[in-house]
Amino acid sequence: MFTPAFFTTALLYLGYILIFPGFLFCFVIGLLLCGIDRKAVARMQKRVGPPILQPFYDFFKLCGKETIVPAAASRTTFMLAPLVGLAALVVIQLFIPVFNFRVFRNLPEVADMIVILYLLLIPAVSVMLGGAATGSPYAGIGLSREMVTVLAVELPLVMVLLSVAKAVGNELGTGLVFSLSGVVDYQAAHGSLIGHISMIPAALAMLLIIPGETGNHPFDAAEAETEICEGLLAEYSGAPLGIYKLSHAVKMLTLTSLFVALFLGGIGTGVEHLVAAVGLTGAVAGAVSLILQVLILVLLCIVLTLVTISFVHAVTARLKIEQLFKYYWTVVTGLALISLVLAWYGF
Amino acid sequence: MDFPFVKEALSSLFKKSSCDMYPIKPSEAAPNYRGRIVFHPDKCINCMMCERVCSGSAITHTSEQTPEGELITRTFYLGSCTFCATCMDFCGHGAIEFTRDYHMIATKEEDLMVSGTFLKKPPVKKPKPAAPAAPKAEAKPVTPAAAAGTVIKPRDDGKPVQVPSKCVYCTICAKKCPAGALEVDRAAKTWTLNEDECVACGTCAEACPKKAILMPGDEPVTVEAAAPAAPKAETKPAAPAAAAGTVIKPRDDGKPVQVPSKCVYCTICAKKCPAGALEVDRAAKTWTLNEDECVACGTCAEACPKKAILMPGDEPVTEGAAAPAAPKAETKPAAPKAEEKPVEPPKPRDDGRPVQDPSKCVYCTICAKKCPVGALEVDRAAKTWKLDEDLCIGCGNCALVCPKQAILY
Amino acid sequence: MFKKLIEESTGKSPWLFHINAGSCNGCDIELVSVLTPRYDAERLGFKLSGTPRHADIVVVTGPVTQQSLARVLRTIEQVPEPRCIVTMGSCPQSGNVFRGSYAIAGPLSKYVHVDVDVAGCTPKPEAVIDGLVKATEILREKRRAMK
Repeated sequence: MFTPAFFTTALLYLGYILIFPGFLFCFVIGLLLCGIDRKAVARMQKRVGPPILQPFYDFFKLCGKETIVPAAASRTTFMLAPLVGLAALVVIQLFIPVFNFRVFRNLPEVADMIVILYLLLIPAVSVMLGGAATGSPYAGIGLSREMVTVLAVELPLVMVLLSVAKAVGNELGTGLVFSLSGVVDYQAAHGSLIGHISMIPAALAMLLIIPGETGNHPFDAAEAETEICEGLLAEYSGAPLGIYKLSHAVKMLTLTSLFVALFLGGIGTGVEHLVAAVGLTGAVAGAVSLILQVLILVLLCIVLTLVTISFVHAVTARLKIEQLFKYYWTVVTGLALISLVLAWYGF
Repeated sequence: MDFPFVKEALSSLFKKSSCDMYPIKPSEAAPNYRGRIVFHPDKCINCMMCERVCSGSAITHTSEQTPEGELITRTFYLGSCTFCATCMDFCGHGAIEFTRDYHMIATKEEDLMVSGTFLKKPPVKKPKPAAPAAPKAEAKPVTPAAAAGTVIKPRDDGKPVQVPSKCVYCTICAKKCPAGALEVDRAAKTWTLNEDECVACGTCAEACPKKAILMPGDEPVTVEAAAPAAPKAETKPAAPAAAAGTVIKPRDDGKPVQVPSKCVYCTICAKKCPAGALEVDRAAKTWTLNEDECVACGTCAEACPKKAILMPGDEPVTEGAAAPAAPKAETKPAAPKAEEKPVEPPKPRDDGRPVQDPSKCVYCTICAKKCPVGALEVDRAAKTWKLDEDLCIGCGNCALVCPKQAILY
Repeated sequence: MFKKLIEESTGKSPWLFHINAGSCNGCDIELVSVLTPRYDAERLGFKLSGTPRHADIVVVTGPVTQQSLARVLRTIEQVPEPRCIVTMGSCPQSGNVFRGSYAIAGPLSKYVHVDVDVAGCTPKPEAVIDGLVKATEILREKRRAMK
């Protein structure tokens, strides 16, 4: 069993987890997106804003701070909850294909949308667990609001995923396609899904879901720092708080790259053709096209962050929790529903 | 749902930011901004008004007695200052200044202390080149050439009156005057009172070694008819080489006269003279009086072991017939002041406002000048003291500044 | 190297927590104006945090009234190390015009070590930025001294 091939594979997967689509990639790009978001919001408010690297500074500073565990808190839960949340996000990132590149190439059925849907819940649950463990009344309010937010966002997200699955399934004649690799493969062959009329409302709904899922500005009732002191995070300090902040940043990357995989998956094909046209072959071509695809992914993520998170942040005021719930279950769910109906009838 | 800021946000994205890049680009405070205090100790006269008006008790002082005078250190604690500038407004001498420096960052309390040290000396007489403000006052001073037989009465406004026949123009009164209201010229033998400055405190009368200044309550003085005509007419200094047989009379300006026949030129008088006005040369046998320096105190005469110095009141010395000179100025009891009627002492009011004690008040108007709200009206000529009840804020400054303690508070 | 990185970051990401200990609101408004687009302290990494657990710099305004004293001290204790305490305005430094009042427990330096005083009544926003930058330097020094 312990053949050299096994070790090579193990090392490869370790690299996947720790470096490329995994931890390091998430860390750098996530915090970068967060910094760009803060800078863009500042510019839209006619401010100079913090340096792009500010989230890095914040994270490292928090690593150097004292960690205070509240007397009423359960220490294990308090310290482990942020790590669980971050781990779940890194796993999602492993499941999301970067155009042609997939970690679980041999197991397409593993990385399907249902799993991602469940995994996306884990960071929220981890925040709730950790917050509830502190026993702070602010966390109590934050907990109830976070649950409502998750409920509000989950329904339209399910409908968006369902309509994508149905649209791809219709085209391929195989019912519903829940495999994310399948969706990206279809787009690589037939062009991005955003080009379909039936998918435009779903894409819009997804754009509106991104800030809700990450807990960004108009939908941040759960961690409103001006009224309930960041709610669930009120009692956190030091490194665990830093990991929560990091999770928040990685979530931006996860959701924007999920959007790219769902609706813009066809763009990567052009890169491969380009690399082939230049005359590169073999491993070199693979490496070059991978780097280019990653760059394109990052660029798209930045653009999506600017549009869905920064811009929305700059022009809106925070919604009350019941307004948030109503908004997601009417407007956003409505958009997703239109898309689903259109996809069902094959438009 | 409408989003009124969409346009604004998008256009701001491409506009220059409206930030003041403060730590990178220095920024200056607005004109008249009141920042760090600068204290000019050389201008301070230690009137304590600033300490009294400071609402944050930010101003304190320490004092230390030194041979040269009182060494006063005044400290402004910026950490307790409200920067209201009331101290600056009340400082009549411009010793407190507010600058536009707002960088008042401190890691230690001492960084926020502004202090200055100065030596308190008696106020120096201010040269008032032209004081036509009170011409009546300038004209009135009893000139040295008072006609014989006139009676010099104390003034009833509490201000001092000179008795020219006694005055030796030693300038001590001018030096002691806290308000710098007296100007005495020894050479020209003038004694001028600046009526506006005078606070009627009586310090000059107390300081006068010759009792030549009358204050209210003093006996009037009659200038004797037989008195030597004009004290101004300076007798020439008695030359040491006085011929035998001459009569040596004491001078009537209070200064000493040498009796050469008795003098042994021991120089004791010169050593004892507080003003250093005597110069005695034992070898050359000269005794010279510096008329300008002499303060007519009589110390030399007292110190002389040979009684060789005559002071006013002494018998003239002669080799020939005695020629007793009449004492030139004689005090004669006169009728006491009629206005000395019993006034029942006023009681302080219980609403915090001041009450005048007419028996003490000299109507000097200082209280009216220092009143922060202008609630007092004092007429020196008419002898009235009026308080505007509506304006008065009960601060007590008038009572504090009154040199006569004539205000009850 | 990692320690150096943390130390550098500590100097670049100071989060503020503001305690009003009986202030007249003058200083509070000026502190908020430091974060507005005109002065934008976020340029320097400053951020107003809602809870003392997240804070690095505690800004105290007001003369520390009898009622607020216990709360102020409890709040300051909740700030994780390294922390820095800044008094803003004359009131927490001396009591200012309230000095000697029966309701005043201050000055703050009687109870805790105060790192930076920003004098003024109220200080200009520029002076507040000065003080916060100074506090950041102290914060970095404290981080260096840790462990």
